[in-house]
Amino acid sequence: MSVGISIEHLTKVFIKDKNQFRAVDDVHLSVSKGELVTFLGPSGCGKTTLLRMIAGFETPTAGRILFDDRDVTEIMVNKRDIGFVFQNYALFPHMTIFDNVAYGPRARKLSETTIRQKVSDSLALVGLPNVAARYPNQLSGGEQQRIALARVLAMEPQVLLMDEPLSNLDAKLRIQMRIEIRRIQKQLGLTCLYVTHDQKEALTLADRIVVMNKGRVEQVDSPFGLYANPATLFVADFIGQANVLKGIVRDATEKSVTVDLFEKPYTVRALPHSRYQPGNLVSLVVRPESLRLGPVGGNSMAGCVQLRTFVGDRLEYEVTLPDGRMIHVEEPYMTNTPVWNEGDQVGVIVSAPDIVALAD
Amino acid sequence: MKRDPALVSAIATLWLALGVFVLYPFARLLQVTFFADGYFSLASLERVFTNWYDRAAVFNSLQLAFAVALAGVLLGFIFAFAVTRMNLPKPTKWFLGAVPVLPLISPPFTSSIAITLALGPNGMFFRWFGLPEFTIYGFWGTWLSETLTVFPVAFLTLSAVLAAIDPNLEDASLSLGRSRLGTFASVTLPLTTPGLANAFLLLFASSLADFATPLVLAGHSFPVLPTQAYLQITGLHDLRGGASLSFILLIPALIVYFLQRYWIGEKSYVTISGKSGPRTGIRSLGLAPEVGVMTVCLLVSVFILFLYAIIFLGSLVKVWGVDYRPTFEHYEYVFNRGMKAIKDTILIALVATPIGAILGTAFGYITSRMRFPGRRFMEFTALLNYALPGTVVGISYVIAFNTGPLVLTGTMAIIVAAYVFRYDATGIRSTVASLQQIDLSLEEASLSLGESAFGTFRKVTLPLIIPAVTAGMKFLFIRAMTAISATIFLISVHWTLLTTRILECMTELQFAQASAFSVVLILIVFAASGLISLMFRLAYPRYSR
Repeated sequence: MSVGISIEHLTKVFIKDKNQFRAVDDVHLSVSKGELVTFLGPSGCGKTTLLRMIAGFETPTAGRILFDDRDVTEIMVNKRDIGFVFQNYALFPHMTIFDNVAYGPRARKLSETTIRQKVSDSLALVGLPNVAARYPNQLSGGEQQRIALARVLAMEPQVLLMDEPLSNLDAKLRIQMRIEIRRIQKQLGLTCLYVTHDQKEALTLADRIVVMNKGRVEQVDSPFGLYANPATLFVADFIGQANVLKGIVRDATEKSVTVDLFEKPYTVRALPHSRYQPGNLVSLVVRPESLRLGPVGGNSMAGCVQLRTFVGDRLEYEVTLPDGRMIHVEEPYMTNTPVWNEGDQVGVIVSAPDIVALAD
Repeated sequence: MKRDPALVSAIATLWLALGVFVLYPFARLLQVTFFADGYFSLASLERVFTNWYDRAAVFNSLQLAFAVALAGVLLGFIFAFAVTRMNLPKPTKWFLGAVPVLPLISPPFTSSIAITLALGPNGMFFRWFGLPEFTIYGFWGTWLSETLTVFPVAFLTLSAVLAAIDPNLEDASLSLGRSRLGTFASVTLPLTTPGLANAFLLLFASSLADFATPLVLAGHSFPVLPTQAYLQITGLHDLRGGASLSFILLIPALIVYFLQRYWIGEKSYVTISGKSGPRTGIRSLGLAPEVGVMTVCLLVSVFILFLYAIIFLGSLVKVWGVDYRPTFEHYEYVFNRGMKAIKDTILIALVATPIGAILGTAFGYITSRMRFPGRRFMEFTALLNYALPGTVVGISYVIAFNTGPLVLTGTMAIIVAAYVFRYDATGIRSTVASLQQIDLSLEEASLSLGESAFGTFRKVTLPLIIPAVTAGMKFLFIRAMTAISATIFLISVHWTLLTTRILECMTELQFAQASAFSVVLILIVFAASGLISLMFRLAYPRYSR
């Protein structure tokens, strides 16, 4: 049976050569039963350490971990009822696929008939019913990862923990497995924590995303929420691409801020709980796809095309603005889309409601 | 990872064993050397340096060790180069790889007996070639015999290093315009340097500690430390004098041990990565150098085989050099008068091997997989007795277990303990090396699937490190059958060893009987190491590593 997870003040300090390193710093989080939450961040941000503490591989320096109401902080990993899927699969090379998948049920001393049933159910669930007699090195990388998943599912864990499970697979297989994992997780109603450094993976898989940086949680939100309303510059830059421009606040209401940008006023979105003081500088997060290029003039910013890249479904431009700053523009490509050349003077058209203002 | 309560008791047990059989004898040795009548005193060390004969032993030992290490590394490198870096036919490669293994698994007297028979007084070499007689006893004989005995160690370590060098690096150098010899000098050789230094230290230490060869071949004009310490104790019954000599022997041995661990250990360039790009074939170094390498290899191989043939033939004729009529009487002697030694030796080896295997695996596993205070010190202590010359260990055991709280003199236990704590070193090292190759996630996977720590070790870790454990067991068994330097001090009327019987034969100039003992010993060792391999292959039919 799946459980909800609560994490309270969780901290992990590593000491190496007398230097303290706070890998995970006072993290709070609660995950509901059946939810899939991804931990997203650059390498070294503490996401894997956080996951390994929840699994019981690392002992927290401070804080508590609860599975529903059960405090598991002091419980050994083999008594926690978790399923852990490793980046490198960690299939036992000296055992057959059957023995690998039967490993968990055997540790629980289930009867041999029950074990057989569980193994064949799990193998069927991951779509590989006929490989039981083989050894791991006789399977492809994608198949090995399915077996790693089957091995964990055979235990019916309370929590499914996955540590960058797809990063060793090639791009196409990764997308296929992403869908597969989501299907199985929903079908079984598993509570799942999923570590990744790939923002696409996080966006497509997750009910909610936890963005981490330097051991701390930057923001927790749904994929939509994170993309539309990044709470910090770090999140804005890490989720998707973002141009960051500086503007001066003229006026602010609860929902919107009016900002001067190259001496023209724009009314852009405000973030809740933020304070915007008139006269102060703010950072404006402008997504490349919310920009369009047109002829100079009108209500647009003047710019000069420096570089054009054709990517098939879209055109990408690097454009310099009057202050010398370079911005990135993406336009969907269709047959009648105007194509600008390097050196062209253009007007950059901004869709103000798509811009978010971050108080500095 | 959460602590297992079983781990704490396991660590305590291992420390207790190390305390009793490594640290305590070591402390007693220092006590006897530095304390006279309860007071700190340097008198016994002073005596060593004022006595000209002892002073000569110190100098000779260092000189011999240096010469042996130099020659051994050179020879080992030539063999390793031939096997790993030349396009040779398979049978030739096998031959050049197999011959150096012979001295490794032979009792320590083998080459000295053979050299005595070939080059000693009445030696056949001089007769065949009509050379003037010259005495083999002294520096040259000892040097020759020790070099042949220890160079295989250099061969094995250097082959591993050379084989791991990516030929693409040499191709890169060639493509940048260097010549073949220039590439060898500027790429291959520098990459091997840490390996060469390591091999040099290993050989230096084994020559320094070698007891059997100088006992037979060095003679009175060329005293060395291990034999001097032995004679001091067995001949003059001077335990303090022996302890002081062995303390002096201990200093260079410890320096070598430290250099190896903390200097070489951090300098290795050769790493095994999972990445395997396409490897290019081996490039020839040119005809002249290759002919040179092959000449050396073949001459040395033939000489080694010649020495073994002499031992074998010498055991089958009446009196070597005088009466060449064939006879089995020497084997009759071995199986009648020597039966007790054979039985004792096998029994001791059979008892020591499993105990040492369990301890070696435990030390290797715990010091490389667990985190606890004093872990590095435990690893150091567990390997200490192996780093010390056997003579030092033997003398410290005599001092520690003749009197005091734990008296073991005359028992089988003292010999077994000496072997277990000295020769579990290979087991420890190969276990550590093998664990480094096994990703931690395999064990974590097992724990996360609900298996206990001990169950994880039994079902996952152990099957994967079984080749390392087997290698450790083989080494321990071979050494328990063939070692002499430590145990010569520990034998008694109740427990005697094949190697000491060989020594007795040598001192009574019964070369034929010594040869027969050696042949029997070599055969037992061969059979046993084959048996150990077979056992594990049956118990663990599959491990795909």
